[in-house]
Amino acid sequence: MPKLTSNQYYSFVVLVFSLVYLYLGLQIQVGFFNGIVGPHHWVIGVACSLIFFSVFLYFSDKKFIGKFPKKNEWLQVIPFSLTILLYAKTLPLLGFLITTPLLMITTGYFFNAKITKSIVSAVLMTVFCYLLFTVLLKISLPSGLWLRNV
Amino acid sequence: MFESLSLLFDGFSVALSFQNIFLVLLGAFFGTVIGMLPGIGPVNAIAVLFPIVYALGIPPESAIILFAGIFYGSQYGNSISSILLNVPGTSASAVTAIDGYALAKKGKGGEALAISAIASFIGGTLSIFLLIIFAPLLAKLAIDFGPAEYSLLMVFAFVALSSFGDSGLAKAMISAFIGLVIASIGIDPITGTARLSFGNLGLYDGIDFIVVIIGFFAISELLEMIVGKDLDLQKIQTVSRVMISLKQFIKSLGAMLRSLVSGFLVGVLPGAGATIASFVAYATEKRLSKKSHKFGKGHLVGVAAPESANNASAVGSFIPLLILGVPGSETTAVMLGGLISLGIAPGPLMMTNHPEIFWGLAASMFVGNIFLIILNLPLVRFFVLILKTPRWVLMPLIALLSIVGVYTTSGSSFDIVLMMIFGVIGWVMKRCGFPLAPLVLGVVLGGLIEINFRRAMIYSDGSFGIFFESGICISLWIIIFSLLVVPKILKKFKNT
Repeated sequence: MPKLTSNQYYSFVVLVFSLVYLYLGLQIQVGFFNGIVGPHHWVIGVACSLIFFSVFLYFSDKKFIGKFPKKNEWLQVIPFSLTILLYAKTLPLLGFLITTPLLMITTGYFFNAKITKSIVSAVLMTVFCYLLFTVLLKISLPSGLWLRNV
Repeated sequence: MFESLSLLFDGFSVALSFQNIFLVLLGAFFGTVIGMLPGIGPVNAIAVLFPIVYALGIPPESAIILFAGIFYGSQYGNSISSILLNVPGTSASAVTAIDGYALAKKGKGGEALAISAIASFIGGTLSIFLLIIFAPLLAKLAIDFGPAEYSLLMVFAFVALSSFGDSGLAKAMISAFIGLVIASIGIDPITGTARLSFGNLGLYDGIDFIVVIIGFFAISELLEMIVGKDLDLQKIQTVSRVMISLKQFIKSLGAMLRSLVSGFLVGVLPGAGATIASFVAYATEKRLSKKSHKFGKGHLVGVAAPESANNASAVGSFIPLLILGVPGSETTAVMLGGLISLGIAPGPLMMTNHPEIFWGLAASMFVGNIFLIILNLPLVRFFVLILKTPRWVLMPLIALLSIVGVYTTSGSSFDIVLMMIFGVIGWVMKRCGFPLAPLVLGVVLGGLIEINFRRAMIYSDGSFGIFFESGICISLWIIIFSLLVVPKILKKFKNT
């Protein structure tokens, strides 16, 4: 069996994604709709177009440019991503002023910052952003559940 | 025409008052700073200043001059963050980021900012002449654009996508259709049916394009920096020049002039706006260029074309606002609210009943663009200092501003989660050679294409003939056909 090119692997991934999207489109409940083109038709149309282009990619002779991320790169990306997700979860609970410096210190670690400099810049950046958004732009930032209960 | 010029001179007498000069400078500066913040657009700036304007009793013609200053100041601010940090503040500036950031990575961030400022000035200033001459005619054209015409205009924008990326049509179209998939999430705009929300309240409203842009552009770039090579960063920090040469300017001038015309015409159409203008201008210049292989790798024309189109479309978007009372974008919608609360009703009688507002605004655009370039060109050497900030300060700050920018769109931390997921997907897509700019186009236009297509089918009772009925539709089909076929024919002639 001939070895698949990178583009051909990606075309399979897109094809699977398109088929899942098509399935979800077919599950859409349209209720009392009796028009010409419904909400599910659009989704089905987009899914079919994606299937077409995934097949097009499979047979494309365009040279592949790029490199799929390696394992050691994933081992750097995943912790950073989890840090952001943890920040998103704790932001409404603990508030901007507590969670943000912690996020900044952790993010600084990913960029090889020394701990003391990281702490100072984290505090300064938090204060700067807080003043910029809440005072100048009048956009409120989460204060945290603990402050509301005090 | 002579009457228009005479009214324009009266407009200058309004715009050049001490108070209005101060307001346009303030608006342009404030807009530039706000525009640099990811996720924070001119809408926020105008919304913040509006109560102050009202409380101070600033007259309507001065208020709209201030808001217009913020509007086009923020266009330039978006360019700064797009070029230097690959963090586009709006979907239109995502196109600028393609070549702008590539130039910054080569140590040519200063030149990119300079050409951006000059192209913005040319696009914004010369399109004002088009506004003066063609405003009533173009207003009528805008009325003639129905759902079928809008659908075809967006098909045209998608066809232009085939110019994007070096990885070929298949990957560009897959990216664009993934954008359409993202745009389809949420409540169906016509029937109210929930689609692909999986019972999650955060997804009912759909996914804001700011979340998509920041995730796919800014966060994916941060991830690349985390795993990436210090060598690239050293190059970015070594900024060679902060101005372009006369030769570079002359080489880019043709692109700027062509793009301002196309940008202005697209900007007149409500809802179409700066995003389509930027994409179409970029794609057109890439097709016309003898050095099309340089696009995407740091080509000055790749920055000049979308910037000129962007600013010209901003001017064009004032036509539906002032002449039809129909806002063409979010920002002009806020301005419309502001004008109405100040007792001014934009509409067909605006030019006759309130000429001081219409012509004062047109004149202030000249003045504002001149001040923008006077202000921003010398500041380029200070803006590029952003790049010299140590990585361990700059990257966390970008992450923080991106996260807060996303959070402010809906006040929900769920959007931060989505942003991160898109960031990882965007990083993988870039590594696998899928261009991200078409995805942005798909997200921004997805809702519009769907609504217009479905409306057209409702009007025509299911007949596709509606897409071939009007003169505008036929013209758009000819342009689409030309875009697909002419480059291939020319290539065949060149090879033989």
